[in-house]
Amino acid sequence: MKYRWARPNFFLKITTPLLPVSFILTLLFLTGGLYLGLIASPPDYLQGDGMRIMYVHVPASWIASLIYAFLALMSFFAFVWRHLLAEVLAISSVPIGALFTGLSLVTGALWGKPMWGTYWVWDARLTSVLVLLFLYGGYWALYKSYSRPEQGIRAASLLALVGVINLPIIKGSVEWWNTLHQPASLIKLSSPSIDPSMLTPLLLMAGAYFFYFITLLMIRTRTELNTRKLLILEAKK
Amino acid sequence: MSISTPYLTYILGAYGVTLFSLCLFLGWTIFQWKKSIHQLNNSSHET
Repeated sequence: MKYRWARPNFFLKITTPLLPVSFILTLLFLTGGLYLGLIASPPDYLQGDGMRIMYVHVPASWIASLIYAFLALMSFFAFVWRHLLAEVLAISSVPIGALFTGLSLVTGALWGKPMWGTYWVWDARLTSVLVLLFLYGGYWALYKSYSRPEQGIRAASLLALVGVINLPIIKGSVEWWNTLHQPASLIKLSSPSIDPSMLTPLLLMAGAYFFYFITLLMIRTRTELNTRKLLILEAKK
Repeated sequence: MSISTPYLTYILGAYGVTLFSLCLFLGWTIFQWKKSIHQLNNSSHET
């Protein structure tokens, strides 16, 4: 009874009404974020309209790290307690995390070219985010290299737990090393050094990405549970 | 945003890549979900 909330059937029951709500919230946040980010917000006094790329780039980086933290937590539950729902949630979150990491790198490159004069530099921040993409890829490859999901998840979980070390490196890279990438403007101990007219579209886009992640996580978890049921049915034949 | 901005290509590129990727990934995910339901139903009927 204690772990009722962590049972796959309970998960399916509670997420059935949540799925459309999460999808609608994604659309609402995305519409507001795109309108403010592309049209209503003012251009930056230094970067001009080029700064608008920040509204798609920065939230993608946040969500990519957030998903990895979620993956590591689920991997911990899966590794220690071999919990089925944690295993399924972990593997379901990997492609979504990889998508946001890829988007962070591509939009960052498109912002870097007009501002820095180059698409890519082997800077600490950019390199640590690239390592994050490799961690997602490594997790997926390791999981898929085993014929049985329960074996693959243990090896992949171990990789995810070791890879957690990359999260503080990503966050601290702009402070610990002399990088081309600008330091944090929002997530820092003192108050944010960003104007509310720019903060609002940034937070709306972050909300859109977050609810997109939740929506896709629910769908992918259902798909993975169906796949596992199918494996059991085929084994019984 | 001014249409005459020198950064227009980069801005449209970044927003375009983002929205295209999000839509494509959502479509692919829904397709896989529907496919898994279909396969599960077929397998259940057979057993």
